[in-house]
Amino acid sequence: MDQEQRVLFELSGVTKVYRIRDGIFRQNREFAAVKNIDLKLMTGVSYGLVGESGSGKSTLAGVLTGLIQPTSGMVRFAGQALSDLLRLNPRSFRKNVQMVFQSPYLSLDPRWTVRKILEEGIRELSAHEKSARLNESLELVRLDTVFLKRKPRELSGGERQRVAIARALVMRPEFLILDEPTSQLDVSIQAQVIRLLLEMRVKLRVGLLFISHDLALVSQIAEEIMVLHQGQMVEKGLRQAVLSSPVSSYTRRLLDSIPAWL
Amino acid sequence: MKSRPIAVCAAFGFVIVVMIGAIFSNWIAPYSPQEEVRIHSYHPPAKIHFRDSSGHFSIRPFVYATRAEYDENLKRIYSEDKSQKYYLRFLNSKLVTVEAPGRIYLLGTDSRGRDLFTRILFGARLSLSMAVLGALLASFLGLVMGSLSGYFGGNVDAVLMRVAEFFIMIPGLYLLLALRGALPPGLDSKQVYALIVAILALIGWGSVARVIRGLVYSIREKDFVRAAKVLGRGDAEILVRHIFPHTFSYLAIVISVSIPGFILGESALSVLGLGIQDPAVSWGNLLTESLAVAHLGMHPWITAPAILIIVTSLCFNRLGDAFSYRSQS
Repeated sequence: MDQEQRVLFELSGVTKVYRIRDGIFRQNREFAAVKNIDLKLMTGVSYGLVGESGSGKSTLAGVLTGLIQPTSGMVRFAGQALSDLLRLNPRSFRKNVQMVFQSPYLSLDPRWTVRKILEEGIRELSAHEKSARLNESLELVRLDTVFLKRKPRELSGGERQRVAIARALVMRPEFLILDEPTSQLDVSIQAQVIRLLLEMRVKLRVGLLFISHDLALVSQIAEEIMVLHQGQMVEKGLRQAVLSSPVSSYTRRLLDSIPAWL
Repeated sequence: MKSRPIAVCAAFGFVIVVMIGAIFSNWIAPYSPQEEVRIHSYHPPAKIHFRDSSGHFSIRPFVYATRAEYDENLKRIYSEDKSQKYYLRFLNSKLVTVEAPGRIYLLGTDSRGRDLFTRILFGARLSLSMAVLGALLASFLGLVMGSLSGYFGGNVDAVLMRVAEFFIMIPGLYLLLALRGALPPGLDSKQVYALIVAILALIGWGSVARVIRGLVYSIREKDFVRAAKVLGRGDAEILVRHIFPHTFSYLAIVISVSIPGFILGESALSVLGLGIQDPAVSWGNLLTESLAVAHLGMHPWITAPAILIIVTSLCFNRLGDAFSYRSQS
């Protein structure tokens, strides 16, 4: 990276506990989705976050986007406490950190046209600026402008997910979190989306956090890989190091489960 | 529930006809709702003839003049005076009138000789507008309360829902009577109108709020709502732009289904003398006279408003069913 790298996110001791009500007469059970996470995310780096269902991946994504308040621990964004930032200046944070959700069937409002969906984050900008940004991000995700008039139900899954990515890109974010962006798409479309993300990284130098249960998929994109297991970070390191000599036995199991021909 | 297009169309047609009747009652009704002809007290519905007593056919319909006689119980009995015909006149500043000095009572008259057909048309104005306004206000209240409850959850939810349940818990009619009873008598008709609309809305909002709460509760967990948050949109904006539109099809059903209840509610208040009162006319108010059992036998036509209330309510119900059927499929 020729650009100077800055620390974007800094998490220390982040824990999120959910209370589960079993019934009126039973005591509430507690369930820690993520436990004691320490993490530094730099600008311009692509990270991969791997873990099975229920390992706390989406909770961590929620914490990073400010959608989920951690029960304890500290989240800093560019040196400022995230909770303060969200209270005092949410716009500046929202502009910089964007997210693409798992299911493109759920993450686009079915009543809106693609244009309205894409403009949601930049409604305040001038018409000229809006159309410039729209064209720019449509080009990045390789969608034609004819899609602007359509509604999500007229699009295929892959097209929808590209709309969702474009919606994040119109904000010109510094960091993009992708929560299993390909798990609802079939394999050929998956490859398309991955190629798109790789290209985008080269063009925009945007930092990425790619979340998936699929280590093989993550290793195609990520420069650094983290592995979550039962809410704990069991592995963290450069791609080559993690793939060739994993520290944790869980990572080794994941690696063994990748078919040899990949 | 099977949707039968003919039944739905018929219901829709009837509702439209009643609404047109209410809106254009000035022009459709032959008389003014307050115009009294005391000598025509309890005049039965007019018989419209095409053939006169001597067998002549005329293409223009006509009515005979009527004469009142008294029987041994001093009951007035009207009979036709075949010597005097009055032809009907159409589209002559009113939809239907009859040559002067004859009078045409399509649905008969009440005790003071006021034309019932006219009064039903004018009554539809108040009854329908109160029911529609009440339904709109109730669903608006329900939308606001239910959305706040479902979107914010927690204590807001707990408090608002307990309040809503309180209003659902009390049987509607008694709440209606109690609320009306708690408020001062001797209000003028505009105040009574506003009061009844408010009372109807107060009774109706609770159940709407509960369903809206459930809808909002599920919609707010959808990813497109979370995406809107990540894009930096505030709660108010998300509610108005993302969540409200998803409740509109339900609200359309609620409004059409709750209108009959509100028509009946207004009628119940007015028939008991707690709602709209003379000289203003509403369907409930018109029924007051038919509370006396004697009239049912002697002047059955004064129960006509009841039939209209029932049929209109059923038609609105049918429309509501059709809406909900459509939104399910």
